Amino acid sequence: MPVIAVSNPKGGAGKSTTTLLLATYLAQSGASVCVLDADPNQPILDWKTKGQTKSQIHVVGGVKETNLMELLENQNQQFVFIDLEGTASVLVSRSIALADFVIIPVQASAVDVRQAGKAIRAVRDEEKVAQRSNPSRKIPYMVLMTRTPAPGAPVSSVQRQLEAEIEAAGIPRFKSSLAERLAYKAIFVERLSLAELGDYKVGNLEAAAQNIHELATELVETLQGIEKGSIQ
Amino acid sequence: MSSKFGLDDHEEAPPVADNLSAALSTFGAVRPRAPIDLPAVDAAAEPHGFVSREATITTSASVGRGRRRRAVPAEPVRHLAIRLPVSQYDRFVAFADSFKATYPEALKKLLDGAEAEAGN
Repeated sequence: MPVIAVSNPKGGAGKSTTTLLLATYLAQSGASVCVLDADPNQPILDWKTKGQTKSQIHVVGGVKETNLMELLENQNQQFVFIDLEGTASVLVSRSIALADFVIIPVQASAVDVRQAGKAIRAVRDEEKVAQRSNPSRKIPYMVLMTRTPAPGAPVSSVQRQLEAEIEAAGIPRFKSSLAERLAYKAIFVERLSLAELGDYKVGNLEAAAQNIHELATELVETLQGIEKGSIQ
Repeated sequence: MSSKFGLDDHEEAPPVADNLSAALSTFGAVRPRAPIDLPAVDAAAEPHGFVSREATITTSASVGRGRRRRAVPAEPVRHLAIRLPVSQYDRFVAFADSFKATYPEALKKLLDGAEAEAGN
């Protein structure tokens, strides 16, 4: 059912990493998944076409303002992710307007969070526009903390302050975060999914897989809640 | 096998991966999107800085015409780097090209013109 836009106008926030990890994990868990690669650098299309991955995710590149709706209409998978460019653009805002859910990845930095604020305000305003024609239309979103210290490692005071501020502002946030892990960089280097990295000695793969499992599970539970109307 | 004191209940709960796969099976295919009012969507996002980043068709005046090399300036120079919407960028480059002017010369020409107009 869901079209999931992954957006933060700040580059390097972890949008493509989040998209690829979640998409490949859901696919290996049995879901049909499509990724619309709307990043001009086409990192996920490059990953799919130039590597040896056996992942079943379907990747579509060449997404533009003018063909976004048409590309979305052509997909019949269970999950469609839109990996958006790290800038504020019409393509990003239209993707948000068409999404069922928006993931806003942010690193624990003031710049990232301030830029994420742009995406949050855009989501809220796009929701108001959509409600003019459909009063029940909601565009739920959640912030995802990325590149956080691995469990057990010290958390910076900046991260603690940002988390407290996000909570105080009532901004919905994933309980899971995406830790800083070598394996997440390696998937782009080797052009393989996390599950396919088994023969490569890249950090703690087991912990990385557990991290993605928890995040994917939380995402699916959230989407189920949205479908049932218990999360808005 | 359950633990001696019943503290390890791992085997009581179904494997988490199975739960996820079962949950995934409840999702149907992506539904067609309801039509959206694109001008309204774009207008709502513009105040937050969401503008078109896709190249527009360049004017013929900005294509294929040479611009003369810059002269050595007679006074100290400062660097100015600016970002422009593509449409304004194209207008500025076409303007410079139409006079075969460098960008600093084109900017000076525009400033001179604006000041002359303001003085009239």
